Amino acid sequence: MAVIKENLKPIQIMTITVSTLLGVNIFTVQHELVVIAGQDMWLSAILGGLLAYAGGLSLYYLAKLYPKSNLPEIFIQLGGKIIGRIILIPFMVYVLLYGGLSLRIFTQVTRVFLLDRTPTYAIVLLMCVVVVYVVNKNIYTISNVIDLLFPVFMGALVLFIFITLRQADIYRIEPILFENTRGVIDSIIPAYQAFSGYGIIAYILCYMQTIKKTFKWYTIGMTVTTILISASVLVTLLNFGPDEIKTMVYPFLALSKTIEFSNTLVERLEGFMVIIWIPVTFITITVFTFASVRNFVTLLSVKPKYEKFVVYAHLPLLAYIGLYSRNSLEALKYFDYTQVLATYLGLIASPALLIIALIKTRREKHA
Amino acid sequence: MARLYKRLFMNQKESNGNGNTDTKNNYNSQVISTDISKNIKDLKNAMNNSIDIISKEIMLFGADMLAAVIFINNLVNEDTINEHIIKPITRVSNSAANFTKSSFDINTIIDSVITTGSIVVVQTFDDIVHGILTGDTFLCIQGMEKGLLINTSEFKGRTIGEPLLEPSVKGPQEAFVELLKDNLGLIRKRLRDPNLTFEVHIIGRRTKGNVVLAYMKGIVNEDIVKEVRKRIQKVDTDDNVGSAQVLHLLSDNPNSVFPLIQATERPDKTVASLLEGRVAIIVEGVPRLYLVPVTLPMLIQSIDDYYENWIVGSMIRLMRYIALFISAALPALYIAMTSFHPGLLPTILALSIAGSRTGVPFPSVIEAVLMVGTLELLQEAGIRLPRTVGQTVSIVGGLVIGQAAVQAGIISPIMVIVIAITAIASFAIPDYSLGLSTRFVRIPLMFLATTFGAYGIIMGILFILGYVCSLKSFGVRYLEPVTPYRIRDMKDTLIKAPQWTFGKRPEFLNPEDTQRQIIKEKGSGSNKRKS
Repeated sequence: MAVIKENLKPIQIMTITVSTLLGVNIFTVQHELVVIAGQDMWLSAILGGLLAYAGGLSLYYLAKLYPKSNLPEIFIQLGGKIIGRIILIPFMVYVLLYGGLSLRIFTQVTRVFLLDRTPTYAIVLLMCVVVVYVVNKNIYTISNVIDLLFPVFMGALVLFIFITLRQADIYRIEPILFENTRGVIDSIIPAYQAFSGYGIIAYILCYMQTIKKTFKWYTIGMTVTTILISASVLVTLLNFGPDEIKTMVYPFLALSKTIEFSNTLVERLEGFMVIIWIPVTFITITVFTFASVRNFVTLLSVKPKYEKFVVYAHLPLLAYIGLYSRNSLEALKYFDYTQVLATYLGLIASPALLIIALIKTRREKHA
Repeated sequence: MARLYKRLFMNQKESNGNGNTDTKNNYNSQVISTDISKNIKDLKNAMNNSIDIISKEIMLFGADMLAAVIFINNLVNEDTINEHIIKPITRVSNSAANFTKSSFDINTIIDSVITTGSIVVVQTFDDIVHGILTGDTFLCIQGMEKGLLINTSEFKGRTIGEPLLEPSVKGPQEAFVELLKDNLGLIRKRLRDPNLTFEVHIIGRRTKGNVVLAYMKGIVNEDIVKEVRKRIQKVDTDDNVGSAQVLHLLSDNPNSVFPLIQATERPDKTVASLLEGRVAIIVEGVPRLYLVPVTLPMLIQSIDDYYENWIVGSMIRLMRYIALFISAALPALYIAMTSFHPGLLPTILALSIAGSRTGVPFPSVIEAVLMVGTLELLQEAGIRLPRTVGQTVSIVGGLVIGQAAVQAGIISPIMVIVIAITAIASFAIPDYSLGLSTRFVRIPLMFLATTFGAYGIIMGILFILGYVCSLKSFGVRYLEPVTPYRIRDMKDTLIKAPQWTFGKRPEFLNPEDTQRQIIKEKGSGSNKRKS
């Protein structure tokens, strides 16, 4: 029975986009950028966000041309049964690997800051079970969970950024762009990679109530994400300076260690930051798993009644990818490879597919 | 194996097919005879000659004609039968001035003789038996092929009392009772609108209990009414609807840990819900009724929120949300903090907890399980025992055993405080079923905290959120209007906004008439109707 028809509201594009993009990137981006851009890495983050938005727009318009299909279905419609599937495979690999490796990096962070004696596999498996359970429901359940969590972690993140400003030193970002323009330009791509997940729009646009306001909310979502990631980069820089950040693996979390509220209930912040960050990573992995399920379902032409088995199959798949790396450095290395794949897919494949789709649509119109 | 499965499955299918067995007896299609003695005999046989079935024969026209009344003595008002049926009919027939034997027919009796309100002409035994069982009196007359069912029912019930499960400080002190007509009256006297519709259905192949759907025509979404009606008509059971277990058959998800149908014993709450566009299901013999659809924020609302200033009301409601969290997660948090993350606590507090646990022989998880188990036992014992004894048990359990356990060094004092706060928080949840849900959720969260610390609790909560977000009550998502965001409807969820903001009915219920109140513009004196 449907008293109210199930669909996503335009505002949910924003919550899903922000929550998916933040993920584990916010832990790692500072370290990657500082090596290339030094004290100007916050500028790289802003430029990377703009580039990601441009990539996102190509996928948005591609999905808008096929409003009743998600990305893998669009590939099939564009390239036919065989070529469409060939196009789909690299996207499928990227989505699955990104979900699994995010899980591994998250596990590592959790072990360092929260559960130092709990085995990695136990942390990975618990996350996998909950992710698969939620994905097995449907996209509406996922989006509703995101809606509930969004204000909590957004509030916590904004508050945290403001708190860290107390001990910020503005001189740590100076001199701005002094003989470092090349470094900033070189770090745009690594910064862009921190916005992985913007393509989720192409998976969820077909579930929208109306396409009308989705562009506005998607733009707001990308803007909010760019501001938050850039702010996280900036406050880390203002607190530690570029040289110190180079020595840290997770500088943003290390930042929370510097804050202490004596004689209050929250005396040390780092554990609480990780606790608040668990839901964010959960959302990222859940959304990527959902996208991965859609990819597999289309690739293997799975009937709707058997889709749940594809979801269940993601439990061992995610767990295997999550546990494959021997240590966190290896996981970060694989994560970087995945990000390179994401760059090719986002900046080359997606615009190319949009152009093909536009030509095809125009031809069909003329025909 | 497959064959066995197939056989079992087929058997099940067959039994399902036959499950709707016709319990109607073979008298169903039988029509009444012109012979009174035969009618009395057959009716008594149809009801297995039960001793409470009374029949009285009446001589008319100087014994030329015979009539009879048949009823069940505990279900009727015998004075009504004597004064409004037997006396008028004998007086009229014996005076013989206006009536002759030939002109004395069914229509004449209805129009000129019987003086009670509700009379139905009947012919089949099915109708007659059902009428007698619901307190009607059957009147049949020699030589007539039709009889009359006259409403003489009088069910003795308790007087309308105070709400026991939903007390209110400032609100009305009336609660529903077991009698259907009293409950309908309690609603009607507050809602004098001709659009208030009561729709009767009969559930129970054997119990034949009345179930009434109440809704406001023109406000409620017709799809909701249709769905409720469809589900009620699908119920096929011989169980007593008074047990209200049948209502679980109406639920979207009968296995749901969280209540998907809201029970209330308050007429004022019912009226407010009907005016929002919800449907009330009133079951005969149950001293509360059931409101659908229901969402989680509705279960956190209390009627007192609306009798207080909106700021105070909102604050109290926010406290209830906190209470919901504490009731479900506080023992788990205690376990996680003491076993896994003492470093997250302020140093002095961590030392204080560690000091209080010195000498306690169990790890904090065993302590917590023991205490939560004891709390559950005490709560259950308090309900089952008579009220006065129940209070004594609570005091003995809470104070004496708690104190003794601490002195014996079995439990740490901080654990007693944690459990006491948990218990108090669970009492602050206005809906009893929701309170039970939090008690259920508490246990798995404790085990997750034991295994994974705070990470386990968060994952447990995420699992519960995923579960709750997937629930629906009659097509409406359980967390509406919090998610998906419906800003307009949120003024009565986490907080209770000022009354002047309640211009529209909740959007998520999709009401036909969206306008709830007309807001007067300040100074102009004119009414502004928001379109």
